[in-house]
Amino acid sequence: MSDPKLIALLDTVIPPGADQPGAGAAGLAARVLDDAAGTPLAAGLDAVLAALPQNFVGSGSADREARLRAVAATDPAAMDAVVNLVYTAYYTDPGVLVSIEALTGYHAGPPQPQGYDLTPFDPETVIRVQLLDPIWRETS
Amino acid sequence: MSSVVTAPSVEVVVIGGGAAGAAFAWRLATAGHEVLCLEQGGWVPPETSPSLSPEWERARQRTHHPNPNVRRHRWDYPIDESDTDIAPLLYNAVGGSTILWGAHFPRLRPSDFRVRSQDGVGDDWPIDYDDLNPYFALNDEMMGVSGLAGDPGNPQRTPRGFGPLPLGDAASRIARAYDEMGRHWWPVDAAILSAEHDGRHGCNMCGPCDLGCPRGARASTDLTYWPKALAAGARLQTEARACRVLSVRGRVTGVEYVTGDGALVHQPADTVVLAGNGLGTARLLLLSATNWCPDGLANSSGLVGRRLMHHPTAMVTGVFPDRVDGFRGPFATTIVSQEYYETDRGRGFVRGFQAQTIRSDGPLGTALGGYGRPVGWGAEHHADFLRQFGHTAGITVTSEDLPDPDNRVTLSNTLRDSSGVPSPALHYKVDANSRKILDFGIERNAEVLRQAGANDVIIAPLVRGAGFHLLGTACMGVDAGRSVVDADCRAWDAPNLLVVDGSVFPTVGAVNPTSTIQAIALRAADRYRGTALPREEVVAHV
Repeated sequence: MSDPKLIALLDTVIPPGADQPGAGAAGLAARVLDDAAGTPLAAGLDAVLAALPQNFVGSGSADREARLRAVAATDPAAMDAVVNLVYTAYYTDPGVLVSIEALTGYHAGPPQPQGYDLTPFDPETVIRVQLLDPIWRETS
Repeated sequence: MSSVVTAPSVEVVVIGGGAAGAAFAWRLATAGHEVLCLEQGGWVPPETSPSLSPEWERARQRTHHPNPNVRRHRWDYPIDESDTDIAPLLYNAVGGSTILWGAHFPRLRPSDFRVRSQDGVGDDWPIDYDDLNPYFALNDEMMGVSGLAGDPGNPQRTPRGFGPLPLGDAASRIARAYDEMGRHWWPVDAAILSAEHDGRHGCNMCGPCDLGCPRGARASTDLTYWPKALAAGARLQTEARACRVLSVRGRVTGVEYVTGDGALVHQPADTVVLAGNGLGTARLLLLSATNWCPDGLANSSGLVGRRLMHHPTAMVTGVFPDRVDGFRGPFATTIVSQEYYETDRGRGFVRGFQAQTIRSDGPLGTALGGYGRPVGWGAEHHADFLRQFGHTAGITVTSEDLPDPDNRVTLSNTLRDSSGVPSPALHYKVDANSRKILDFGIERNAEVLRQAGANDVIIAPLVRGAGFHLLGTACMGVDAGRSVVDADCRAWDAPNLLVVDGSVFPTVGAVNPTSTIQAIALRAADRYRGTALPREEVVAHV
């Protein structure tokens, strides 16, 4: 059973968008905890959760964000750890990647083995610059 | 450590199987010398690259992070980075940091070897560009380099083995901007094959070279030098962590190392060669203190570990209104500008910088900001993410770093590796000259990005996670009182001890150092044999 405060924290860092799930709704709390376990990031997550008030869960989204920004201002390193954990869980989640693919056309799979096609280098592009005088210094 | 074993003596033992150690071992082995290399990591098969996995971006943040303190692989040792402006990035494996690098492959310029006589700062090298020129060419052939000869920013060189990599949309726009502003730019030399060669495939533009290359297109010395070195008779002992160089007054006698299963091995050798980078080599020399050298081996000058240099880096990221899809193509290798590389005292600083255009990233890399600023969290997150993802390109401002004895590697008082051996500690501050260079470079490259069409420019004034280049901690020179090794990389205090990695750089220029490191290692191998290639560049056939 995930901590409601953690889920509210995730949904405050990445709220639901028009076409994207919020980080809390995406069910990432367990993954965030797994990623944090045994790493220095865990201390940051614990510090931020401890600093949030008890009524954080029941607050509206604007109020939650304001409260979290206050915590971030007093402990930016801890908030950096939270952002790293939440972004890492969110942007490697298959469902999220599918939503990004639908929005942008970006291929949601791994970069290999298919790679990408790019237009080959055109030697015409260096016509101007190759006529410049040398800009390195002789030393002997 | 469960037992102590004494191994049969060898002629040459090389510590470190990365960029420098592999080149040195190959050069000596092909000349018939007996070479044993000790590498603390193991082999990393290219087909295990996370770029084949949906989890590839997570791997970059965790298991394949370039900082060993984050990655925490069993082959790594912890590093005390509590007193440094720039975090150390390196990899421990056969191939060393070439397993995780971007493969940008420039050479130092002639003036980089004459900083004292030309600009009155730092020190001149005891060798010059022409000494290394034939070894640059030899190394290019071994590694496989794509690029284009004819750059007015550098001395003439032989035609590159393979044509330049594609620029992509963003770099093409930035190149046009340089043209419109009358500035220098050139397609980079990249140790990435643009066509099939030597059993390796050509690049298929997947992007994350830093996660390894399952096609073998991006060079790493496990694929380039090591197969040939092993075929020539060199031996490579993996998971062998050197913990002390053994010595008597005036000469070294061998190495002690710990195996993967914890055994302590005494390896006698006629010659010991250090290739563990500016961090690992300095650590090992300091760990090797004994009665005749109580402050560390080869340290009568007091300079072992001192003069640590990085390349302080700022990141200038342009956000374009339309898509440039910078996640397509090898991230670090498009174009470079050396317009402001040489000293112009009217700018208020000495020396200069390289401006390297890099592509952008996948979704997670974009969100975390790569070398720049993370996408904001909160209500505007999705809008900010979509404004940046696929819409950015960056220019790194890579500054010269001048030697300062207070920037140094020491042994940590608090951290130890898994064998109980003290870890290295970094002590490093960016100096005022580098800060001025970075600030100047940020302004110049923000202009370029706006000229190229960016409607927003994001500035990272100093990238902490850019400590790939660990240099200068066992510098070469002509005076035993002011350097650690001579021009042939032999330690003044023990001539059968060589240092052949980036530790020997007296100064570092403002370009990625790997091609220069490898050229030095190849030359040192020849000097060990009492020979050297002619100073003019030749096309090598290997």
